[in-house]
Amino acid sequence: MMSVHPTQSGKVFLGLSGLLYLAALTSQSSILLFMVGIVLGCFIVNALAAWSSLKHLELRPPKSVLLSEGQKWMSPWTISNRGRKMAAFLVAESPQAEIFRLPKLDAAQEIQVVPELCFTQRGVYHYAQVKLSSFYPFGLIRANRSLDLPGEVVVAPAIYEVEAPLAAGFDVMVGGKHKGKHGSTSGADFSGVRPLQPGDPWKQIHWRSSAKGQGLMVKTFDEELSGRVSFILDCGHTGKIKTLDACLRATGSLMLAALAVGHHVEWIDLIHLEIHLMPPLSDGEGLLDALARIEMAPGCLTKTHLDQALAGVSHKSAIHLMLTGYDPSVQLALENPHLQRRLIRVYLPEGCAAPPLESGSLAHYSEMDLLV
Amino acid sequence: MKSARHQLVLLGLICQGLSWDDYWLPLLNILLWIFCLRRPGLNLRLGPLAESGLLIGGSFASFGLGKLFQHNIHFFIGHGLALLQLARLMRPLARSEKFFSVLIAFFHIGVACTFVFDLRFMLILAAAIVLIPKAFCELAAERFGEDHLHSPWRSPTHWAAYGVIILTTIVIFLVFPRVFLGAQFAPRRSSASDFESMLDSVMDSTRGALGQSSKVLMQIEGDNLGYLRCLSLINFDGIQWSAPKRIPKKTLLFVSSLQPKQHLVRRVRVKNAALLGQILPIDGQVVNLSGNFFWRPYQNIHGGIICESMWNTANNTYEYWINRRPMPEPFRGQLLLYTNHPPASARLRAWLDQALAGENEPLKQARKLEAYFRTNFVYELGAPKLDRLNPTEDFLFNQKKGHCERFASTMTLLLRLLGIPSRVVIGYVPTSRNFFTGGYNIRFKDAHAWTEAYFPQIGWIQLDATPRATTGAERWNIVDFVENLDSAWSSFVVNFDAPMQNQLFTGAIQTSVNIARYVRQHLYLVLSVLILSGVVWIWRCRRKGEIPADESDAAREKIRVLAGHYYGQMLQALEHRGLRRQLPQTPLEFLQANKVRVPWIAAEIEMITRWFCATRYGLRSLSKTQQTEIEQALERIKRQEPSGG
Repeated sequence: MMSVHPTQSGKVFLGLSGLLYLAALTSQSSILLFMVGIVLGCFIVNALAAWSSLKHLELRPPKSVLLSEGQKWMSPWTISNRGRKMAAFLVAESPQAEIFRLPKLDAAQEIQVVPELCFTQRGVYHYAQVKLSSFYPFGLIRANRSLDLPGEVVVAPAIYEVEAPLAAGFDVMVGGKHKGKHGSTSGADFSGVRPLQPGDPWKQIHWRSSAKGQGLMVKTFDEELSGRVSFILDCGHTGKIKTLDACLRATGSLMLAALAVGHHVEWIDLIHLEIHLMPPLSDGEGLLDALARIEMAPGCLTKTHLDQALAGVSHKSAIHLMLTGYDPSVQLALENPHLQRRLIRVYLPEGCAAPPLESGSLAHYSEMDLLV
Repeated sequence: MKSARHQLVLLGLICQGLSWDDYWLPLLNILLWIFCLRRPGLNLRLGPLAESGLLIGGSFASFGLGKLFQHNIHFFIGHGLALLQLARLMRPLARSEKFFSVLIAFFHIGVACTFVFDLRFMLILAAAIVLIPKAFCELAAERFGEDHLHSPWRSPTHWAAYGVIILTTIVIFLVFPRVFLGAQFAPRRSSASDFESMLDSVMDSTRGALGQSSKVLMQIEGDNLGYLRCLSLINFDGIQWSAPKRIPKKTLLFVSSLQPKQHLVRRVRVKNAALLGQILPIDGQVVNLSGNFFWRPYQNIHGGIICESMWNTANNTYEYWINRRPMPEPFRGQLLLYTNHPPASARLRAWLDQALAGENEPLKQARKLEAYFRTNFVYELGAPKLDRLNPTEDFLFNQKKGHCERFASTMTLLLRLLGIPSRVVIGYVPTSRNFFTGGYNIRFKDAHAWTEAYFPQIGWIQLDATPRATTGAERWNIVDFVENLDSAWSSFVVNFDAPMQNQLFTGAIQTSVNIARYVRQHLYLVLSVLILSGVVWIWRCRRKGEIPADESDAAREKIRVLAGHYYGQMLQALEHRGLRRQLPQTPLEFLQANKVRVPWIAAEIEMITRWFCATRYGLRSLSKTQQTEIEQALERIKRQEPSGG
């Protein structure tokens, strides 16, 4: 879909044309209208040429990409002119920022342009919102063409280094990063030998020790455990986008830290109330993608939602409440007797005051840091 | 100086200078413009405060100087802006400042539109049509980091765009509604001495330069244009004719409803009202009169129109209507004044009797005398002077040749001898038509004298005893062409007002109706032509539209091969100079290695290498300009002497 409208310069010259016309009415001769005609003629030529510039242009964006906040986008865009005339003064832009600008594209020419774009805010930027504009040749009229391109740029919250969050409900898991008290016949860390017992695998017999004459000995390893961590996410109860973004950065950082140490991670947000399970040691791309897509939902922090979310998470896991602001419903929800012996931590924005929680500890987060 | 914006600024400065005078200030502005752009060694950067001071100070200075030297002070702010423009030429400008500079240039050109009404405006308009789009393009190109030398508008082939601009300009001029709401500029009064200069040009063609001047005095449009009367000379002292000091006035009666069948209209444009001497030339019995450069016109008993005051405007025009068939007017004034004559000799009386032998009716006698002079005498400018004591008999019996004044004088005298009231009238005779407008150009050399005689029941009639001049056909010259063009410009453009616009619209509507009628009558033929044209046009549009994908791929491949060919030629040329590219070396590595070894052609090698990589790996295309640049770079590489080592 194409549209044309005057630029700022164009509006000034349109106003000037009006003034010239009024001056022509007070002049002895109306030859001032020639000046009006020249300006309006330039407008017409601009409109036609700009429209014609855009007509045969083809823009091919890169495939959908996942970026982080503050990360430069270096994927090239391909623009080709399928027409027989030169296209010039081209600008590709989205509602958020300008993607690239091109002074000239000859007929039958195709070039690749790398935009110098840096997304500073989390979100999903659809290519369908990208439009191509041309001011050719006079900069008085701007022709726009909506391209409706497939694909998107997903900008996930920036991740920073944090310690792994507290976990609970440890279970044996191959590859788990936590040491258990008991030994195991398999694992990564060798912890000694013991006499063979019924049920032990033959492969684990330590022949060298067994040869010493004390009977068959099997290798024992440190028990590998992994815990469970649950995150309950407030989707912007306070209505402040900056706070929500900071909250999501903290959430993402904690979740990835938990995944890195091999915990089971699950998370639920207070709007959709759907559990998302992340297997341990996964790369977290899906998680970041999901965090990027979270939309502001003021007023989502209610006792009902909290109760539902708390009921939905695993009953063994440590609970991390990621909040954008304090609400008395948090206290009420945490007073649930079932939660009395659970490991619960509440995260609030820096500077947000809250009464001490009876069951649970408090932590704060800032723009790019976690203050435990 | 090649920048269209600078050139537009220059045009604006010239236009602003024209508001002061015709030569000196425009010339000064041009010189200052050149100086400010060149500024040998001088780099002046005025701050915003200083520039504002320059603007305000310049405005007030021009106001004061204008009052002192009696120049136009209407546009004093424009002079301050002109100084600001000149100051800003001396430093690089930000984009917003360049934009403002273009706006100021617009203002200056607009100023010229309010007072430059002659052919000079055509030059200004032509320059504006060329420069304004280019200046816009430069401003827009800078947003994309392109300077004026590489602006996409530099190509001279944008004729279609210029055509659209010119067409739009014409349509806007023709269509926009017109209402004059303003006031006249301050007038310049005509001087008394100018009254004599017009007389001089008639009474003795050897006196005064105006007599034979081809310079146009005024331009008249109208049908059946007659002799334009200015003055009536009644008193004759035997040697010279003169007008009475006081001529009684007559009430100028205007007719309220003008009928084209009954009345004729004349539209007159006067170049310099000072030369009219407060008299409006007319060619009949005026029934309506209007104009923009005189005040309180009145008519005297001789039928002449005289104004109480007259001034000069940039566009002096008047319009008057006359009766096609005027009613005979009763005789007014003292009869003796119109029949008075010095005593005539017997020889003169005898000649008169002989010339009019057999004719008793006064009107026929007058016509006979008129015919006699026309047939038997010769028109000659610069004829020998007549006898001081008896000029009439010397002319009549001896010389028999002379200019119009002699014939009019003699004719009038002879009629008075017959007792017929008569007078000498001086004015102008329209001779040459304007090639463009069809109207008449009245030049100084068209000044003429003739006789008017009064006959009861008929009134005053015109008698011209001057024979036709035998000067041969007029040769065309450039001055005439320019004058005709100026007249056309004034008629069709400068004075294009609401009535003319209505006339145009009416004509256009009538033409549309006629076309519609024609189409209805020949419907099938017209439809066939339209369908055929539409098919051809659609086929051409589709052909001009997108390039098919395979054609586009073929073009790309061709460019790739071409760039490879250029790169190969460069490598060959460098190999002759001992610079050989090793197999494992990439093109950019080879470039880096040789930048140091042959710095004098490093730029050329870099350009060719980068284009090679861009087309081969970046799928870029090569335009004709870029191909030319690469070929020139190759030439320079080949021309370099082989290296010594």
